[in-house]
Amino acid sequence: MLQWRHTQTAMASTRLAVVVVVAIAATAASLGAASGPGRPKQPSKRFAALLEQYRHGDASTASDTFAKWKDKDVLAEVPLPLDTGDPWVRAAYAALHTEAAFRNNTFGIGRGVGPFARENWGLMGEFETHSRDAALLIKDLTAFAKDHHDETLLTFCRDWYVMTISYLLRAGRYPARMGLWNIVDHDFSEDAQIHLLLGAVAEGASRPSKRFSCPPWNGPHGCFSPAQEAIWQYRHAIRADDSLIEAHLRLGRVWHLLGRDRDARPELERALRGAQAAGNSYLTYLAGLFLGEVDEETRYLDRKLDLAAEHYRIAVAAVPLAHTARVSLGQALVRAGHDDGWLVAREMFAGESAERPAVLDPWTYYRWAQLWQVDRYVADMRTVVHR
Amino acid sequence: MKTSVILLALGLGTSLAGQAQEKPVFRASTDIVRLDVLATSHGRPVAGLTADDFEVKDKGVRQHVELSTTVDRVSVVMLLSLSSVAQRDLAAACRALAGVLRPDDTAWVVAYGLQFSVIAGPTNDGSLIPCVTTQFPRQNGASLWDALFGSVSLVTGMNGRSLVVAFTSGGDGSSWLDEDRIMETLKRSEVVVEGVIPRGVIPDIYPIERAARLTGGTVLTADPTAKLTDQFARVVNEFRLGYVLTYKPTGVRTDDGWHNVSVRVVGRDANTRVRPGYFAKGG
Repeated sequence: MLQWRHTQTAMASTRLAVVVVVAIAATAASLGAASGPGRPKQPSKRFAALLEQYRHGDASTASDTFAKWKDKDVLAEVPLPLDTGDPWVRAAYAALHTEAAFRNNTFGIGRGVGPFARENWGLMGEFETHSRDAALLIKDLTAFAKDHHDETLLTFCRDWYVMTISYLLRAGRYPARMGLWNIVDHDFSEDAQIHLLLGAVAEGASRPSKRFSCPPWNGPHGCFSPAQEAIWQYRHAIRADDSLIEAHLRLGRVWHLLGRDRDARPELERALRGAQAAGNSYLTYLAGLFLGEVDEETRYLDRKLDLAAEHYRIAVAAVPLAHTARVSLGQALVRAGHDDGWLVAREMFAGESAERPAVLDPWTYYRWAQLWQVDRYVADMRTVVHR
Repeated sequence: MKTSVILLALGLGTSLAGQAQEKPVFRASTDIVRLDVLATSHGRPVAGLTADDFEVKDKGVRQHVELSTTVDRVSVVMLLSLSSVAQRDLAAACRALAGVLRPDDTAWVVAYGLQFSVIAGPTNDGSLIPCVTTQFPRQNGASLWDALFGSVSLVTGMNGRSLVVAFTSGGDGSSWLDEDRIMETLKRSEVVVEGVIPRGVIPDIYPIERAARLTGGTVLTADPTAKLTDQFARVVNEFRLGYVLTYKPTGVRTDDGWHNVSVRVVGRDANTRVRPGYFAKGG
């Protein structure tokens, strides 16, 4: 763990040095922009109306409209920093910027001089405008919330990071994600949700569908990898909030991939019980799937796949048309000598066509941290700025 | 805002589906073995053979075989990679599928990237295969093994002969199933898997070749000078020219797992392509 972190620190130092050099270049590159018209002190009437619509009217339409604005219009009509003492106005600005960037699929896209610079969200001209403005506002709001002990605002900021880092994980925008990773690792170091998020990011870096392997340079004292980082984060998440079902689920999964099924099973069983009690089909599906694989691998040699099939059936029942659980159940039955395994798998295709593709599988979501909750995060964001 | 807005922007679609499909009938008795055999001489299929022309050995014990009469009917899945195959080739492959279907055939088109999905079928009408005009969204990821298992499940138990043709770079990067598990399920299936590596693709040929060999199929690395449609037609037409041999195992146990099988054409200069064995029930 420590070795992995030290390696990260060394890499961060190297990056910092490069960032300084690159920042100078970026500053020079942005001089052109700086010499043009600066950001306004007050929002234009057009933007003020749009923000009002976002907060108290049709937020979806407002986001669509804002997403279509040209970059020069945003720079000319939307102030930054904001001359307002109301943090919820600033939060609304950040939320609207974020939704606009999501709609354009441009959140976290870099424009500037290189990937190292893109880890520094403050660099002028480096980022797509909506996402850069949102990130700067949220960073400022986080400090404000801490200073004023405003838990609601702090939760808003934390959830923004959870949502956007998950989004960037899916979009494959590594430098932008690392930039936000560094911020939350510092600003929310005791938060269970952030530990869960960072664990998921580390787990994703170690390719969750594959067995972790220990590189030879780690020597005889153990394997230090992103998997270790994930375990460290999940344990901290559970320590901060033992009721966090997904942390148990993910910890169990990583233990299994490391070959420690004795540790994996109780975590996964706890996750399954918790998910079923909460009526959470996403987590129930994954817990059933992961437990099924543990059962399958531990009982395969004696050909007793019944327990694995039972767990896979729990996953199938949770999300009936998702493919991964059907494939898992089907292949387990076929390998156990039951032809109906093919039928079980075949049923997953019911009604699929080019116009109606497969249900997006929880297993596909799993690698993207909290993206599966993006609807809820966006809805919460709108609700909280509606004040 | 719905999840789908974000996910569609990220290149993924979602939907819930609810229609039922016809269920296949498992024809295979537990003690009848079926072999799809392609006999070739100098690279060309040999036609007109009878059951007596074949020598089949099960675990080294010669068997009495019969020639099945249901060979004209073919169930075929075209399995398309959305991450490594160019759109023009996907469309060409679909046109080819539409061109080779006969009235008794049944066809599906399955596409895969991070996930897989049926995008056409079941149908025996080539005009109903929409992918000639459909622009497939490119998708990262390669869930070949998951998609292959799903494709095999579609044609398993159908009347006639069953074939999966995979247009792929050959590798897998994001399946839930690992290679060993998919290979073991393929050993327990009667479906033939053929691989086609389209032009311009850097192939990772070994995994798909292993799958093809286990089922009596092969991998065709596309000739850059030939039309993909012709190559696909060749794969299906060669498959039609194969023989279906059946036998009731004698002189061997029928509950002891894997059986190696060898097939040769007696008295002719011919090679055979056939799956290397089968799983006896209870094994």
